[in-house]
Parts: sequence; structure tokens; C-alpha cells
Amino acid sequence: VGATSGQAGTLTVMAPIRSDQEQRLLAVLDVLNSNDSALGARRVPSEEGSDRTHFARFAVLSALTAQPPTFVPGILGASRLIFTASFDGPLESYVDDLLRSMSASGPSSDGTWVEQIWGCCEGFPAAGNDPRAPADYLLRRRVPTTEFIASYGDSTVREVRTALCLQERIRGFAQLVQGWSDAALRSAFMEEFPA
Amino acid sequence: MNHASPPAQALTVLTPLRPGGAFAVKAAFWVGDRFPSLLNDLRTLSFIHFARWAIVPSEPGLGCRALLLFESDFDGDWNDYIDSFAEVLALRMKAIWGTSYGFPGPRPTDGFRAYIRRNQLVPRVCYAAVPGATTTQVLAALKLRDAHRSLQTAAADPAMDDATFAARWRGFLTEVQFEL
Repeated sequence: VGATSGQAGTLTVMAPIRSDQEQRLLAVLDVLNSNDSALGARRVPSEEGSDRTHFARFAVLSALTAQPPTFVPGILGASRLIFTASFDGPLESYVDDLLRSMSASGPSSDGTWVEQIWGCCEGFPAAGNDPRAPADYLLRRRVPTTEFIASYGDSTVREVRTALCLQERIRGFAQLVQGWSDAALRSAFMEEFPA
Repeated sequence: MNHASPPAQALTVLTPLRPGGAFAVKAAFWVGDRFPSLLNDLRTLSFIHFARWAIVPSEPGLGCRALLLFESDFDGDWNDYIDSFAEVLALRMKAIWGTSYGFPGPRPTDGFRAYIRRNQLVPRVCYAAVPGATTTQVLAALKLRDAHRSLQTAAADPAMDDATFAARWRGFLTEVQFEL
């Protein structure tokens, strides 16, 4: 309990969207989302390989509801891009991993996911300058977590995937060896699950 | 638009805080952190993968003092999820969201559901590392893995005969029958 849970941490980034870029950003996010569906699983392509993200999402905040009457309801100075993730390990290296993998591909030849998504936000550094600048930008726009709860914060993404695969294998093995002799059972077990 | 792949769903809620609300939220969590027994009811909600609260500080153009951000990745039906929060965690929800404008209280749940629905932000993109797995399935798989490790060690033990290993195997299956 607190800002981390076990080895798991959380990241929330909130960045103002350039007014002339919002529609473009929405289109890029939809491409990202439809790509996920096409893959049959919700994988942000850029996160393949980093293997540290449990859950992540992009949202755009364009208006607020439930505003007090003294404020102009629903009006924001600029829409916000919100990115959130639950991930494994230290925050800084996670941001580096995320940006590295999001820079490896993109929705089109026009640019990487980083350029096409974060590049729509005010103040995001242009490519080719300081290599640390994008990570610094995300960390600067980070909203600190007040409270974080994780049901399996001690386990990494890799451990969860491995455990689920093992569960399947054990299930199959248990059905296979029903009625086998003790010696055959042990031999098959050692072959299937070597120590 | 998507929430997340079934069975995990994504919930993002942003509510404007009342004056002093940020301090009150932090105080509520501070108390919760120091008295873990207060969180026992939260742990009974086994359908939550991850949940978090954050205070978005006021900044020019945001239109209010500060915002309370709540995010959760959970299994199952949206209405059931909100109802469970309202029923099981009524006091905590009141302590947390009572700091925001327009919060009607956790009960009756119709009003609470309407409040959350009005303030929720539908994500454009959702990602889940293991989209098909519920929290219960993940926890079961992790528990099974731990039990399986000791069986692997036993299988490799030359001092153990086959009959003893077979008995261990049957005991293992009995032990983990609900995790398979």
C-alpha cells in the first residue's frame, strides 16, 4: 500500500494536447487500438519486448463534469492526454523501456508511436535533440500516485505469464497420466517438468 | 470504444476536488496505510487486478483546483463492481470521494453508479499483458507454481522411490484441485 505494491509501480502522465493536434491524436490512438484488435490481443505494439507492463491505457480528457457552479462547467483550457500504466520495477527504467519500444515502430512511415502520440502534446521535445528529453518530459508531466493496490504486485508480468502457462501444462499432464503406473508417472513428470 | 478485453475492464474516473479535498484524501490514505486492518475489506474484493488513486494538482487551464483520479483494472460486470465498492467499502468510499464535488454518497448505489458513470473517462486504448486472465486465475496459477516447485524437487530426489513420488503427486493434485 502506498505508491508501490511489492515490486509493482504505477505511472500516470497527463499532458496538454496542442489544440490543432487533438483530432490527429485521436485518429492515431484509434489506429493503435484497432491494431491491437487485429492482433487478437490488447498489446500496445511498442511495449512488446519490454514485458514490464501489466495494464496500460491512453485516454483523452476533453471536458469535466460535476464541476462546482462557480466554475465554467466542462471547459478545459486544453484537452489532456492521459497515459497510465501498472508495471514492474523502477519507474525511471520503465519510462526508458517504454519510450525505447514505442520508438521502434509507428502507425505509418510518418513517425514512431512516440512522435505520433506524444508529439501532439504541448512542450514535447522534438526528435534529434537531447536523447533524455522525452523521458524527462514524461517524468515532469507525471502525476504522483497517492495510493496503489495490486493483487499480485510481488509478481512480474513474466512470472504471471509463466505461471499461467505452467498451469495449463499441469492440467494437461494430470489428464494424460491418469491410470499410469508409479514408475511411468514419475518418468513422464521428470521429462515434462525437469528440475 | 473499448474498456478492455474481457474479462478485465478498465475504469478511469476524474472528479474535481473541493477546497481542502486533496489534504483530506491524503489523510484518509495515511490512516489506511498505518492501520492495515482497515484495508481488509478491500482485500476481499478479489476481482481487482490493480487500483490507484492520484491527485492531479491544479494548473492553468484545468478549470478547477485539483482533480481526484481513480483507476482500476477489474474483472466482471461494471455495475457489480461499483455496487461492491459501495457495499463493502462504503465508509472508505465516503472518506475518499466525499472530498469531491457532487458525490452523492455510496448508498443507494443507483446514485453512486450514476456519479461514477458521469465522471468516468472512456479510454481510447487499453492494454493488458494477459488479457484473458482474471485476478483469481492469476493468483491460482501463482499458488500452483509454488506448490509445483516442491514436487519437482521431490521428483529429482534419488532417495525417493516411485511409489512415494506417486503418493506425493496425488497429494499435490488434492492440494491444488481448486487452482487447476
